[in-house]
Amino acid sequence: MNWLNHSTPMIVDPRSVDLEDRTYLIPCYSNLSALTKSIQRIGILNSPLVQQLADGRMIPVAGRRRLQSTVALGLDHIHVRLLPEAVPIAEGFALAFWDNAAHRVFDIACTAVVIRRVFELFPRDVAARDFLPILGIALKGPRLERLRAIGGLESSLLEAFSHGRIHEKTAALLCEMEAETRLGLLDLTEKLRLNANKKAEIISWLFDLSVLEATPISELLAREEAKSIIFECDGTVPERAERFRELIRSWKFPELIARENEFRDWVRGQSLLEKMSVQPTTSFEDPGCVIEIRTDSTDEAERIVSAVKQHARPNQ
Amino acid sequence: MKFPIEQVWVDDEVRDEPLTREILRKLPAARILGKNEIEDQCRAMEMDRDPFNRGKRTLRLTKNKGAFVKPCPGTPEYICCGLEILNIGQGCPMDCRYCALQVYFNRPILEVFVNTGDLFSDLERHLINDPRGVHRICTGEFTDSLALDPLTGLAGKLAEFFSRSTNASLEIKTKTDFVDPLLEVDPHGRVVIAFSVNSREITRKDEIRAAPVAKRLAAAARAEKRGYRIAFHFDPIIPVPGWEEAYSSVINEIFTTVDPSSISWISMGVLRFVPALKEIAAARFGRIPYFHDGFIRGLDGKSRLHVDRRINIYKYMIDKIRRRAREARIYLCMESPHVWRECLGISMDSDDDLTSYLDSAILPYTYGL
Repeated sequence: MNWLNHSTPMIVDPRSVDLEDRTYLIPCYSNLSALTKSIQRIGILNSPLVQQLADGRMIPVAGRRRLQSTVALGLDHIHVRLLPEAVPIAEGFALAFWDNAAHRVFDIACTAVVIRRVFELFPRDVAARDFLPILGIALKGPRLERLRAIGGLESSLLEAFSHGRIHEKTAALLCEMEAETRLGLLDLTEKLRLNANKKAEIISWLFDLSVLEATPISELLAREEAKSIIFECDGTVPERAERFRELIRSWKFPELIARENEFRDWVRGQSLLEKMSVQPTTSFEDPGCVIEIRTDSTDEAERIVSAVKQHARPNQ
Repeated sequence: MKFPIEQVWVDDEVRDEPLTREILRKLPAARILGKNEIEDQCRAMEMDRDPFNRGKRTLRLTKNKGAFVKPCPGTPEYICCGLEILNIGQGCPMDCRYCALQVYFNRPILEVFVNTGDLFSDLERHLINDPRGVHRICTGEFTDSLALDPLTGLAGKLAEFFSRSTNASLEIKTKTDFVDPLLEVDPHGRVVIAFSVNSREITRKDEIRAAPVAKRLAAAARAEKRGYRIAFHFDPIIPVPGWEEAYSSVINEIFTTVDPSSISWISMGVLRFVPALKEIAAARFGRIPYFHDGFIRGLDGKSRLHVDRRINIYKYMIDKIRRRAREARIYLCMESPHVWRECLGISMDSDDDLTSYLDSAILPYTYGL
């Protein structure tokens, strides 16, 4: 049935619509300003669709952002179409889904929210047949379940995910934490101005430590060494961020950090030439080193190679 | 039959194979599915949140269309032992939480290659045609060598085959104690029954449906008595708190049960895994603390503990083994020459070096006879 044919036009105050209601939410984390300007210039071409519930509350079905824009513009009456209360939630959600799917590309955060809702409202085979192909998500493999979990995160985390400030794997890890912990971690890592890669490292290391030591992340962060960096007033933010990262890294990889420090001290003791560097093998997997010498010309390179050959010969 | 098989999928082309008929005879309660039903089941399995639960109760009888004998895939950058794999099937009815196979199979059912006529002719051809001096062949890479043997009876036939071979030995690798049918065969020292062993805590918590350590060791003693060579694989060694005492206890029990002279080799490998395994295991079993230890990316892309820590673990284990068996042939699975030197004082610089080291364990029973 085409439910639009069964909806009725009416005029409402947009402020009377409960825009926080998530029944038919297909989120969009992009800025509203372009849409608001468009409505200011030419008005609303397609009326939003709303539904009035038995308790009198009015909720958005499709056109939530248009409604948000009209509220932002201070409009006190707009044209909407009213969907009968009897329309089942699953039908209303499908309507909202197809309305969105027709004209926008879902970003991954939106996809996660939609997947979660689809699996709440529809049997698995219907979800697989009607929705997942449009969303571009395979039914098999771990990603579906991961996105389904991410879809339940708080708006601030979903927004960070949508804008690429946290990676998908980080978002998935955050799902396994208490709400207070994950919101606190987002807040902390954003205050330290860490990019998505560094957030991913720090959050995954803290999560690993928490599981391995059976200790809540809040307790790890309450350790004196961590607290002193988090609450420190001295030093620039990037400096504090780097020290914080190094601290968590030293908890997670103590042997590696010990070897790195040892190696750094050894290199310092070698008084290397300015154009010279010595690197260990990856993670010190074997005791070898790579010596790098930058030269200004092939002639200089040739002289150095020759000298190295001379030096190496007796050991051959 | 210890492991519950609820469904058997029979491929059309193997319907008349003798082993198909034999297996079906032993599974009167299982549902036998035809082609259409199998397709439905495949779809249902793809939709399942944990396909492994269903897959481990589903047996597919199929034909191996490729080569039966293949070299062990090994791993880049680390020393490989030159083992050859005899593919008798794939998938395992046991469910070890750390099992690497969880990453590799999209449709994690149990598969038995029932075209055993092809298997034996391929094997024979391989041993005749391949100019290599001696072959160490193992059936336990993509499956447990004995888990489905009560259904297939293949291990005994293979033991018979290898008992007559002059240039090859068979390694039967298992976490079961299903050795009794093998006791009817005199292996002439050319068959090694290898038991994967672990600490009791890991066995109890992580090796779901596998035989307890004591039963594996009792099976080792029975096999030893019949003239089988024995091997033990401590792989993966998982250094959870208290691991030292836990592994020492198993080492002591091994040497209380089996004479060191009957042991062909003892291998060791500290837990390493492709990174995806951590999340797959978490999705199936919940978070497992040891996967969250300080793993770093190894040279082969697998997650490995830091080399210093691995060396300490190996040294501890080697010391405990040497106290009970000074001459034990110990080898490290997929480790670097540096780790070999540090732990065993041996220059193991290439795959060929390790191959020779292990081949020497079976030479007295092949050409040497």
